[in-house]
Amino acid sequence: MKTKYDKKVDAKYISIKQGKIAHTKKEQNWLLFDCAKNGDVLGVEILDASKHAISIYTVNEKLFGYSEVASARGSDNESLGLSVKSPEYKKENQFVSA
Amino acid sequence: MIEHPKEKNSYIEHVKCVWGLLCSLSSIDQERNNLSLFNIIDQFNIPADFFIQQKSEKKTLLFMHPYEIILLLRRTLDIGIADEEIAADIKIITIDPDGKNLQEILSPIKFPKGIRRLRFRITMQGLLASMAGDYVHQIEIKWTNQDEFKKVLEIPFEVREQKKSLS
Repeated sequence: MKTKYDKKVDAKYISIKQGKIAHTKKEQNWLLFDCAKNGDVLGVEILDASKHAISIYTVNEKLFGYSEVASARGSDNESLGLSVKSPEYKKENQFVSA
Repeated sequence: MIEHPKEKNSYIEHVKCVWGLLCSLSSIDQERNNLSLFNIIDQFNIPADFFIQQKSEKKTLLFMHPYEIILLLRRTLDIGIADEEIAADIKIITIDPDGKNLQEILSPIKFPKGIRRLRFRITMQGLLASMAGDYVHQIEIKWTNQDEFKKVLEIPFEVREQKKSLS
């Protein structure tokens, strides 16, 4: 994954893989997926990026999911804790398919 | 916000990744602000069936073994000298024994003013494993106005195939 942040408009673009964009899917008002003809997500655009801290997960160069990054200041007020949970995997059988 | 120069030669490291570990669970003592790590992981034992099924189904499977990736980052300069907000993207790549990238996690991090240390905890549902052998979680960082990610740490771990017992 590669990232590019446009400070002027506060938007971040995450390239997942190269290809021709066939359509853009609006996942959220602030989250857009650029997709190829076959549905593969080629890139993710985060609008108001400074307000939306999200982690992006890919498996074998395919978008797997995203999840929010939570933050909490430490009691000393000089440390910060960030935590994030990986998105849910589909459970098909004994093992889980990614 | 601190502007990091684009030229590689004039690169100034304002934040350092001090350490990174894998563990089963972590917990923060709110009163003392200390982090406890339980069951530090340097090895995963995966049943042989997992690899057999993965091969036969030609699918990437996840071995359900919840664990956490814990990173500690800190400013290299004292906040009395430089207390600007620092923003970056952090990437965690899971690399198998053949050097193949199985998984990437990309996440933004931000050191607000007044914050010296940053703990980053990533809870994973399980492990993606293509074969038994030596793996790494490679940690890379890219500052907001830089073009490329830079490797800052590798967390190695071993995946062992657990053979079925005959009894």
